[in-house]
Amino acid sequence: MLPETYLVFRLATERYALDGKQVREIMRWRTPTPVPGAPPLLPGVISQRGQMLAVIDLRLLLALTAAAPDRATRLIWLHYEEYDAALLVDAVDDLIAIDNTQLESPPANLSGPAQRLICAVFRYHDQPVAVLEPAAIFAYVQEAT
Amino acid sequence: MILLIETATRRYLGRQSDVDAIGAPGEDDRDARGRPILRRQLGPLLDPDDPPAVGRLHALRIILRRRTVELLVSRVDLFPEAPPIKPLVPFLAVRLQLPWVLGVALIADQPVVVLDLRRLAADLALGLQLAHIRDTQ
Repeated sequence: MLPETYLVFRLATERYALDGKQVREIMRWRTPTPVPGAPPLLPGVISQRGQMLAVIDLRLLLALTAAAPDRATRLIWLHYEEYDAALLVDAVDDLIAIDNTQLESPPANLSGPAQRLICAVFRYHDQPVAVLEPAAIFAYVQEAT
Repeated sequence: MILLIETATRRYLGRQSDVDAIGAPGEDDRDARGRPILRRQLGPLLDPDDPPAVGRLHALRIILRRRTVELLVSRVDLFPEAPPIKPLVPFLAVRLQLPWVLGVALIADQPVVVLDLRRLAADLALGLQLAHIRDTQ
């Protein structure tokens, strides 16, 4: 079986990944236009190549503490079925090829949003990387408080 | 026709048809027909990080059945040609506390939120406000 590509990125001290097929583009941080009445995990909208993208703060979605953007902060354009969004992450590490046999089930002791959002894990440079499920991200955004 | 509205630090768009008059803010508590006037700075009403505008202000006057609402802003310009308005993506639209946003339009390549000013005025008249205002009261 051919390996799949995954985009590895960081939030706080943890590494996460998204299926590379669902990543359209990686963008430098720019301040989004706030939308009145939106929750903090949706800090605004940006325009990229004529497409209006809502920004999702992945730290807040995963119940991590918010962080001020810095030079490493990136926005990941995630495209999944009819959904598009810009995911706010602390830094992007690499685009890597992973054989499906390297994917393992998520740990049974996950709790909170991670339990729903993480669909698999693999090792990268001997560190665990949690693979996020795009469908769960969009579903959770609509429910999270 | 669409209005480009500036507050202290933000820009918004609004339909001209939502606004009955634009002028200097009044000082009376009631309009000519005796309706109470509700006067609010638009910037801090929408965004806790947008401070009240200072200096010469403009009032967007919206006349409702029982009240008149005056939204105070720093500047208003009329755009003869409205830019295309894109609706908010559903996962964002469903998360808004109040349905005051019609969509987003691009002005000089920057997204600008398009407000439903009449709905906003009607909600204000009913005492509805965003959470950051309620939390400070």
